Amino acid sequence: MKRVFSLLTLVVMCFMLAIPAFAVGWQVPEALATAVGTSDGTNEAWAERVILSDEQREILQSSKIVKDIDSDDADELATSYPTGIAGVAIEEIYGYPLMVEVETGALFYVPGIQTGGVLSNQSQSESLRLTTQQTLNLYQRLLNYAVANGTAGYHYAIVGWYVDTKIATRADYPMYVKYTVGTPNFSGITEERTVNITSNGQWVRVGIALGFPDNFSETEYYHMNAVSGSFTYKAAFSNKILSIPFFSGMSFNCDAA
Amino acid sequence: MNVAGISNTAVYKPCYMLNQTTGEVEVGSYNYTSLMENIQKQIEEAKLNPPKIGNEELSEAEIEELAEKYDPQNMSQSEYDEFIQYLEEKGVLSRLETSDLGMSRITIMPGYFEPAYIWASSSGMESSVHTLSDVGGNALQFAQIMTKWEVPGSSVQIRQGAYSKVLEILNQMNAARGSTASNQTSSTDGNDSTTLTLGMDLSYIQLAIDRIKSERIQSV
Repeated sequence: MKRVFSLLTLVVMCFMLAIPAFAVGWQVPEALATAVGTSDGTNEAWAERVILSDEQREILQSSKIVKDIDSDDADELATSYPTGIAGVAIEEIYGYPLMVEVETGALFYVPGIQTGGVLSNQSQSESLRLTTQQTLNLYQRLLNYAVANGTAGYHYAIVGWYVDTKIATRADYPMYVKYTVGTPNFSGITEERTVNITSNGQWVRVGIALGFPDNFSETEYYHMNAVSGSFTYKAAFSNKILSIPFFSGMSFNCDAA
Repeated sequence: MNVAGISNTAVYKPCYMLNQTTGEVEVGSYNYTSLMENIQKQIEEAKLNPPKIGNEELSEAEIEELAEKYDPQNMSQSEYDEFIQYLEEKGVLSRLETSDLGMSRITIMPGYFEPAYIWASSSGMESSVHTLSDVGGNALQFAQIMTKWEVPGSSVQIRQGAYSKVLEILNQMNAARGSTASNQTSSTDGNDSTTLTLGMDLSYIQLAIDRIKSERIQSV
């Protein structure tokens, strides 16, 4: 049964990856649901929040093929089972260019050289989006920092990003968050991790040191996965065990045609 | 251009480097295989060896000295860095502990730190604080906030434990400064500076949080 869910999760994640972000936000009773618009941020580099089209919503709904699943073993996508106010949202993403000191192999980042911030959309899928020049500016600052503060004679190179994602959960009866992190990563994390959530309104922060992905490009758009997973809770009224997926990442060269 | 050793079997991946001549950023490549081997070695060592934790304590004289040098409620990033480095030199903190303790450079230590932290407080107001500057240089407040992030379901709390030690020392410094000030002014009102600090000015915290929340992507 778990395999079925894993496959389903994969399908949904693939779907999520196909669009930069989609705004579902907190799962609330229909009467309380509010429309989620595009980002009101004026900075073009901020993540674009994409509203699901009817067609996209249908795809997501049709992927819910687990209705007959055993409730004590399996998770279901919660999108069509709104109960009490419950949900998961990416509340913050910070990206720090990641540097290696070549002579020692030490990996580090500088908290003062970063991009990102608090997200106000309460979306379950978010990406930081940077233009080529914005990215280069951050790299230049970090490399200048290394020249000024590094060990004389040592060499420094930027090999990826440290991405810090703050995930907000909300449910009357929360259970756990399961997540995986992007690859390649320098944190030695390959397997799925579980964090038990013991109270309503809990925050989880996941920080991961990521190398540039295989689809890296100097000039063309590419995406870096940071954290993907699901928040599982027991529905307040139906007693069903539901799961809501979430995702965070960074996109580069977003100004490329 | 390659920045690490050359090997026929090594995998090279892209990186950004500084062109020494022009001072501009340029794309190069680095020996990914070598770096990952180094990381894997660290992970294996972490599995075999318990994390090294500083276990020394400062004397009263050392606390007094620190209290004279630093104001726990108003420290610059460089002062904070210097303070943490001092604690490492004194054996209060290990190098592992100082690797991710709010200094101006955070070092990744593969194998020792879990990627996830959970906020262990009923109030989320302070959970958006990341750096000392987010709380206006109030190191006491910063350390107190950071102790609220803990590794979920683990008895090994390296970072939280380190921040707790820092917080305790900052409290002692604050008390020392308070008593010094009290002696200087012959004040007998009995206010406990530590209590005052821990109570914290909530309006100040709110201002700091509001500032962070209003933050959008920085102009890069």
